Order: sequence, then C-alpha cells, then structure tokens
Amino acid sequence: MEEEGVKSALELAMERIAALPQLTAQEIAEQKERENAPVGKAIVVKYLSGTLSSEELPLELNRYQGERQQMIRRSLLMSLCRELRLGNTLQDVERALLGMATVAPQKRDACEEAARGFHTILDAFETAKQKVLGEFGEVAGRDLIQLGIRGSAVRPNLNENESWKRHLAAMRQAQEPKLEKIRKDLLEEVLRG
Amino acid sequence: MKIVDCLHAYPWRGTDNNCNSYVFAGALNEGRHVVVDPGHLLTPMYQEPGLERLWAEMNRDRLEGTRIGLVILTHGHPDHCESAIALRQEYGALVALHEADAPNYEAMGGKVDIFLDEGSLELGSPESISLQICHSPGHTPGHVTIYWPKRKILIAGDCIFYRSMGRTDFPGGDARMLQKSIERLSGLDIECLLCGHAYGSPGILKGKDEVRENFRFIQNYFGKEAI
Repeated sequence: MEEEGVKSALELAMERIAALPQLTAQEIAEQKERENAPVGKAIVVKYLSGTLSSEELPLELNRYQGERQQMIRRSLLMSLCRELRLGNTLQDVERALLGMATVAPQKRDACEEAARGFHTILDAFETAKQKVLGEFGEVAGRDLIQLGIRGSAVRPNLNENESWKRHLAAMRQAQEPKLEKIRKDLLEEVLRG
Repeated sequence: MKIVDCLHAYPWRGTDNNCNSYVFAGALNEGRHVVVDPGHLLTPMYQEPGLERLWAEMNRDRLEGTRIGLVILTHGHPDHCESAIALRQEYGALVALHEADAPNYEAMGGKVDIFLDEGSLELGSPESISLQICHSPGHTPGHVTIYWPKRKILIAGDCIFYRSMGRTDFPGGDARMLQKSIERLSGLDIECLLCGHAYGSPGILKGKDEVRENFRFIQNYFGKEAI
C-alpha cells in the first residue's frame, strides 16, 4: 500500500480554493466596486466636514486611474446624493449638490434642478413642522407643570421629546417618496455621462 | 447640611476635584428632589465615587438619591454634570441646562430635557419655591446662577468662590463676561452664597456682610476702574 505524503498548509489551502466555485465576471466587478466604494465615501466625509474644498474633489479623484477612478467617482456621487435628506441642514445639502456639480460639471443643470426640487419639499416640510411645533411645546410644558416645574426660564427641549421625535420622523417619512425620486433622477443623470 | 427650609448643601469632601451639590428636598410634586450640580460620577484622577458619596450624605438627611426628579446644571463641565447622565438614564430625572452649554454636555453623552433661560423657575405646586435663573456667562457661555429672593440665597456655581472667581481659560471662557456677570450679581440682596467648589472654605458664605466683603474682594481684584 502506497503511503500518502503529508500536505503543507499551503497545499491544503490551495486545494480548498480550487474546490470553491468560480466567480462570474459580474461578481468580480461587484467585488471590485465594494472594495473601492469606501474610498469615495471617505472623500465625501472629508469634503462634508470642510477638510476638502469642492475644488479639491477632482484632484482627489485624479489620484486614481482608469476603472478604479470610475468606481470611486460613482461611490462619491452616490454618497453625496444620499445627503439630500430632510434630517440634514440646508447648508449640508447645498454643499453636497455643489460637490456633485464640481465632480460632474456637465450635469450642473441637473444639480440645480434637484436643488429647486429639494427646496420645495423643504419649504413644505418646514411649514408643516412649524404648525405642530407650538402644540408639542405646549404639551411638553404641561407635562413639566404636572411634575412641578414651570416658569419663564423653562423651555422644553423638544429634540429629546420622544413623541415629538416620532412625529418628526413620520413627517420626514411622508416626504421620502418625493425625495427618493429627486435622488434617483439626479443620480441617473450624473452617472450617465 | 441643612441651609434653610428644604435646601441642603453637600460640599465635596474628597481629594480629587469635584463640585459642591445642593438639593431642594421634596421640592417637586410627588416629593421628588431637585439637585443642583450632582458632580462627577467618578472623579478622573483617584476614581472617587462622587454620586455614591452624594447619595450617602443625602441618606443621612433621610433623602433618597433615586428620588431625584430634576437636575439643574449651572454649566456643562464634567465636574458638575457627569452624574446627571446617570441620573437621567437610570432614574428618569430630567436635566436642565442653558442652551449655550448644551453642546459641551451632549459631547459627553448627556441629554438635555429643559433649556434654562434667564427668568423665573417655580418648583412644586401649589406652594412653590420661586427661584430666579440668572444667565451669568464668563466661566462658560451658558453658565447660570440660581437666586432665591425669598431666602436671599444665591447658588453661584463656578461664577464666584470664596475670595475668588471661576476660571476663564477653558474653551468658551471670557474674563470680561465673567466680570460683568459678577458685577450684576453683586447688586442682588444676598445673605447666603453657595459656591460650586470648596476652594479656600467650604464654599458656603453666610451673612450679608461676609457676602458683601467677598464681592468687594473680587471687585478689587478686577480693578476699581473696571467695575
């Protein structure tokens, strides 16, 4: 009977790899996309925090070449597009749109159209919010009086009020389909050319 | 240590830095207490249990620490407000602080339920304790002091100490603002000054003359022409 040789760890590992199913071309492309996406996201974080100016965004992208640059550009534009949400300040949203217009200068019109759409939604949201804000403030004030806390120095912080937070989230959610359409249209446009 | 009526003082007696705390016992409805500046949960250098010691001292006065319903913070420094985070999380106490100091406190993980503005604060009903919240910036931008006109008591936080005043070299500190705040507070009718720290004394100054002398000493430090 022939004796089997002892296999090295490398040989065992190679055997296991050989047994794995082959990745399709699409899976390989998705894998590469996943690997490069964090670079685009990191550039956006630095840009939104003010560490990078809008002029520096193309310079950051130019540090990468070819297919990799395209993947990072896609991730960067997607991350900036996600900033179009009501929880953000208007300045944050405008900064995100400026970044998109800088990275895709030929799509500046689409960015401006998205900005107009966002402002319309924001105005409607703020009007609705102001309508109910006073009511919630009064309820919170009454709750404090029940506990024995009142006076002109007392201003309830509604940002920590659970029922207000729930109501605000529901109001934001109601605008979400319109916002999602703006984000989708804008992203399709900037990624197209 | 009972100061007057329901107001108790708990001067910090540890080795590390921590603040004096003051408690309005049973001031809220359902007999819950109000604490001003509960201090550190654990002091940073020697890990002394600040809140545990405050509770032990309150317990000697037959006051239950878990029955604190409102925490008033004179300002957002950790040696005054760290325990407020635990009191809110574990025992449902509400936290009140001036909005200008909220970012500092929130950076520590704290949450503010009530923003304190300049104005009146009534605790309890129908018979309430009527306090005045005085915005007294300088040590921090959102520092407040608490004046009880009926008893002529001022809870001064880190604005005024025994023969001294609060530091202004921390972020947000402003010596000119502090000077103005002290000048304004010196115009109040005060017979008992309760300081935020036991620097140079327990931090409790009693008697109109003693309080006036303390203000005079501090104002001389600033310079007569500046006051």
